[in-house]
Amino acid sequence: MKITTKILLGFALLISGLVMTRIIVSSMFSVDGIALSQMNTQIASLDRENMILKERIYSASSYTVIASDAATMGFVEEKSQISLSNASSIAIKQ
Amino acid sequence: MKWRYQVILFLFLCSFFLILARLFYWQIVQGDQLTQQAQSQYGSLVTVEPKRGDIQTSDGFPIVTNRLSYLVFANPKEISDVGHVAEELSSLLNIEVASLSGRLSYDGYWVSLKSGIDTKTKDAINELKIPGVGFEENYARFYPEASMAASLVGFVGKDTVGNSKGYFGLEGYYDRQLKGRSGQAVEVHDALGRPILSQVSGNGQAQDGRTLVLTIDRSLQFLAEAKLKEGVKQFGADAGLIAIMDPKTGGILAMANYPSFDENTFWEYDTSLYKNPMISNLYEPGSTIKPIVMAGAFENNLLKPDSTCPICSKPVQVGDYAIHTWNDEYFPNITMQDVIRHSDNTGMVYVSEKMGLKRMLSNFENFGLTDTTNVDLQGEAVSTILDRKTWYPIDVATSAFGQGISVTPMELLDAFSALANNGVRMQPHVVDKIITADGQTIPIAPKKLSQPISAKTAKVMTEILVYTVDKGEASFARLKGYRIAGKTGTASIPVAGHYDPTQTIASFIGYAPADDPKFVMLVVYDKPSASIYGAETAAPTFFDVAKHILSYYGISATSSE
Repeated sequence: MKITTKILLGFALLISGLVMTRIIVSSMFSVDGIALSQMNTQIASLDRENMILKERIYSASSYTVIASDAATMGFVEEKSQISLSNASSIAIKQ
Repeated sequence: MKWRYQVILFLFLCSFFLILARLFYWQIVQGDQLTQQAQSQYGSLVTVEPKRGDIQTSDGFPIVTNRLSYLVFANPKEISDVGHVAEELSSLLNIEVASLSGRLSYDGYWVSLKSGIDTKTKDAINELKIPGVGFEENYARFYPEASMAASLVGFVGKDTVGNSKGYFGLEGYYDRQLKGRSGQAVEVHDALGRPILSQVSGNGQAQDGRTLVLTIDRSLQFLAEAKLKEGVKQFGADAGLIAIMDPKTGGILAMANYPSFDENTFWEYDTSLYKNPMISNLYEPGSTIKPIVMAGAFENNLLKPDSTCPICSKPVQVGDYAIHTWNDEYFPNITMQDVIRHSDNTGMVYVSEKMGLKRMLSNFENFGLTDTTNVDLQGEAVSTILDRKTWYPIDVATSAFGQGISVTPMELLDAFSALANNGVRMQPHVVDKIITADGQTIPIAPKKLSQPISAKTAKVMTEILVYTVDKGEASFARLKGYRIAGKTGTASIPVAGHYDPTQTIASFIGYAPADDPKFVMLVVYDKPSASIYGAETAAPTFFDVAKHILSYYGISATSSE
């Protein structure tokens, strides 16, 4: 085989190899892209769900709602407070 | 043969330069434009809006956060039965059928139906499966505690080009921190429109706004708002405010005012309600200024608590004016501690004569009453103290009992806190720390502003104020067993050049426990009708709130008296 034929064959093989590599890499990226897109959609969906849940939790745990619920359930504010400024006689004996 | 080679070489060279010139034109001259064209062909440019930062109380609960909000739009070309669709959407969107029909009959491809709808409504519309109706997702401010601390928080509106912008309070002051930075993302797709990769353009990634963690205690804020609302109604006042501060750090623990507004529907309220009266309203402080003036006299060694007043047996004549006590009761040779206890105006005129104009002004300045406090809220008013050259003897005399000078409630609270903090005045602030989008915490350290009086003078004044609470006009309302320092204030309101005796600003300011104060609190009622006196209106509210705060902090009574 002539040297020129060998060079041409080498070039042809190199080009074929590069084309194949490009096809394989592109295919991989293409699939990754779809997977990534699906993951992004899933993340966005979970973020959305989290925000809705957080909104519900904050609403339910706000003092405004708790005070209103407590009043509905019959809880009343304790008007008087008891505090011991001196030790009681029982405590002194013990 | 040689000339043939030369011609071919010349042609090659020409082709080479032509290609080079064309490449230069594409890459350099038309580079940006072609890049944009290419991007639009292989991908779509999306603006990524940042989430506005939360505003949290000291317990980490967000009193302002974000919720999902939707804009409902329609493509009229895809809607065949306009009447039926309008009827279906009318009740869900709370828009009249005729109005909806009009919009759906528009000769175009896109028409907005309603913005700001919540997730529940969006889901309900989705279930109807109406072709041609879609949603655009965005964020809206959400207030879990409804209108709590509305004047403190402010609200988010739009600027002149339609972008979100914070106005008033924290939303206004910290707008740049809260709003974050928008970014642009390019979604790349293949020839069939399938996504290949997502990448972010060179304009930078979107960055969410920073979160503000406040010094505000949610429990105290809730308590202050509830008690204030109750008090304004009980005493028939036009308005009222309660502010509670930690004197050791300057951190604001609660700041309530009534009436206020709802941030969700701020446009439905009078614009005068947007202002925070704690920092934006100037008023004559009345007798609550007396301890500040007296402390100045003690600090300058001009008087002592047991010094007597030689001019207090009758009304005092200053120029053409006769100065009376609030109840026309006079105490000859009254001591300085009893001047404060009885809130004796003639005694304060004596103090002002001892102080003189120069020391009086210097004292006001040292206590920060001549300048803004620089609290981290938008809209702080500057107090107006007359120029030294324009003061007459009557001005010096009346300023000693809080008339003829104007301060903001915040200035008074901050000045009074110096008495509670060994004479040291701290910078009032509402934000304790800032949390960045990537979780870094930036603490805001307490800042000392000045020391107008020594710790010794502060202790002496505290004892006088405890004596005033225990034996003064408001002693009926005091909390037994606790040492609380405080002072009433009843300031007449200047109307058309004179003071209206029937309209007052009633107030009470104090701190507890007196020996190791955990809070300093100011209660103000504007024009109470049940009684014009601070002792009968603001003082009972003060002690009612103080009782709950002491219980909340687990501070028990120190004696049975």
